[in-house]
Amino acid sequence: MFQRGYVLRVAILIVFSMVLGCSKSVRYGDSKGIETVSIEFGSTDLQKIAEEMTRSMLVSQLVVTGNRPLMTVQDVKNLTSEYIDTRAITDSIRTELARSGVVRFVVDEEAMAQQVSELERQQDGEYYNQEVIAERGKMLGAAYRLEGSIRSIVKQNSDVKDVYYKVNLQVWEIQTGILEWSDETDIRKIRD
Amino acid sequence: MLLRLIGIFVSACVLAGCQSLSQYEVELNQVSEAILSGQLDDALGLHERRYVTANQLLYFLEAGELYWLKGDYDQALKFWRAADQLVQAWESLARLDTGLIAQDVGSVLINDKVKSYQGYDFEKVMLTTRIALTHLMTGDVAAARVAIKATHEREAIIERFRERQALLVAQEDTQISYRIDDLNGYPIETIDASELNSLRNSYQNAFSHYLAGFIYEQLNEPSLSAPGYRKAIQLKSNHPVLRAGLIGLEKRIKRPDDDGYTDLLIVYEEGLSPAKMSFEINGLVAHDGAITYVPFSVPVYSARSELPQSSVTVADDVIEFSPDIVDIDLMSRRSLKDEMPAIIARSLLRSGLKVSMQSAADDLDESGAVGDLVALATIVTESADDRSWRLLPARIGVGRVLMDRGTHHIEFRSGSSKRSMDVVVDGKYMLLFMRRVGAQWYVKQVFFD
Repeated sequence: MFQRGYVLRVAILIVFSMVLGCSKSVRYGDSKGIETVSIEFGSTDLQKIAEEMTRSMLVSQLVVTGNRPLMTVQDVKNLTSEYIDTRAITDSIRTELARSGVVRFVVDEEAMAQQVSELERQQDGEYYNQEVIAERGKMLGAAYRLEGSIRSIVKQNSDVKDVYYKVNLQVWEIQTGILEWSDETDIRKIRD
Repeated sequence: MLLRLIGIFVSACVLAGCQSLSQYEVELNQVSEAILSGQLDDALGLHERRYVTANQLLYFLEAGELYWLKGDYDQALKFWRAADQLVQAWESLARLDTGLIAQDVGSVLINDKVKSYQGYDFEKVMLTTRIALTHLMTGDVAAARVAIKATHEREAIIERFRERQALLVAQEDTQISYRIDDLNGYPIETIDASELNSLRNSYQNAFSHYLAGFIYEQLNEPSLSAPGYRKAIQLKSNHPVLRAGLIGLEKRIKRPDDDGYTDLLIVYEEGLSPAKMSFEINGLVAHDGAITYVPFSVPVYSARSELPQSSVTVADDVIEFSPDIVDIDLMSRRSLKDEMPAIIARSLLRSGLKVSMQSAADDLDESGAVGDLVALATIVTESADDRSWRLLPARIGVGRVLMDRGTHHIEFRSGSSKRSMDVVVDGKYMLLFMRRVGAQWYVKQVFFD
């Protein structure tokens, strides 16, 4: 009886997996929908952080009373043990702020090499109209820099995994070293 | 029902043919002998002759390793990509769970070698790590990034799959309870040592994460590089090279390209991954109210070999160096230990089926000829699954040093074996790869601006 039951179970599994194999398809999902595929840092977390931080910055004194301040984006340090591309967070925030038109961004350290390369290409090239090329020494330096960090606390036992993320962003005035804006948001995910 | 099973059994034996009877270690012995004597072309020729009978995944994995050692990176990538496609198919099944269980049906009737070889979890992780390493060797850091990202995504899939599997096993009301300790005469110490049990799991390795840190660092992505170094430290705590990787990250990223120094990463690999053999045991199976002894086989490793003392001498500075970041030998044993309860359960189930079939055959044919045939097939086909990616190194180590650019004399020592050479150190970063197999040293290098 035991063997017969096993063979029957295996047969059912084979048929079931064949059916599943046939029914696989590709579909589009809602890019803003809540993603709970795994407990690791995901698209919903990224969007939540970017939206909350952008909203907070848009109502800050720096943005409301400032005259379209010039800002540069620096590193958001990943202090977790997860592979989180924090540039995706800062890119989203920068895009939203730039779209609002209340903050202007200048080239950051990461893109500086490309910026300089393009300037030199125009300066040194014989193919460009020298009257309208970008001139050296005209780039604007940022008045403020955006930086931050993401940390996590992970607790796990045999039944439950609990992950807590804390994201902190700050805007510093470069000339004076004054902290002009700071905010933090947290996310807690539990899998059981 | 049993008569039908006899028919299936005999048919399956015929269909499974050589694959169920062959010894992987014997098959690969000539290939590994050729590597030990430095005859890589011979090794490749011998391996290519195995193409028809070999399991596809294993064939691709071993072929990739041979071309990698030879320095033919295009061919290595071709075979490893083919292997990776098969592993990706496994990943798709792992997400659904069900398909993987269904594939075990042949192993219940004949032996575990009938199962299509899906690779051990640590082999799946090492595969994309090796693809990343090969891309680095060709100077394509962006492609290496894609492969190393796939490595940690694969680790996450394996982690989730194994968690779900453990949950299912815990919930299952199993009718067979047999512990490793019950295996009479089995050298239990080969798969149950304190250092083996101290591994977090059988598939994560510090080298893959350290390499991820190194690749992301080159691409100036500190938010991804830091967790790579951090995870490596978690897997191999208190290792000075790994700790220095994380501590010095910010300083290294800000280092100018033209300061005249090169950040040299030395990857040092030793030996071949351990070979498995078949170990025969007499198990107890209940049949018709009586307890019967039946022979069944489980895989076994030979005792672990001692780690040789190694060092690297750069100019006159001796750096104590040990291939101790990843111990694939240990990971292989841990994998077997984790899998052993399932292997024993399948073996006992198979033995029970075979006893039932022989009994039914004896009832069917009073002359005993059919019963003898089934008994013979039972003995002949009872052999443990000894397959594994054998050409992987047994151990991996890393060293890292900031050197002034130019030609340097570097000497490697491992036990009584040594290799010295002049190396041109250049670029902002450089990777020097060394692999020792027996008395042979395989060396490769690449630098990155």
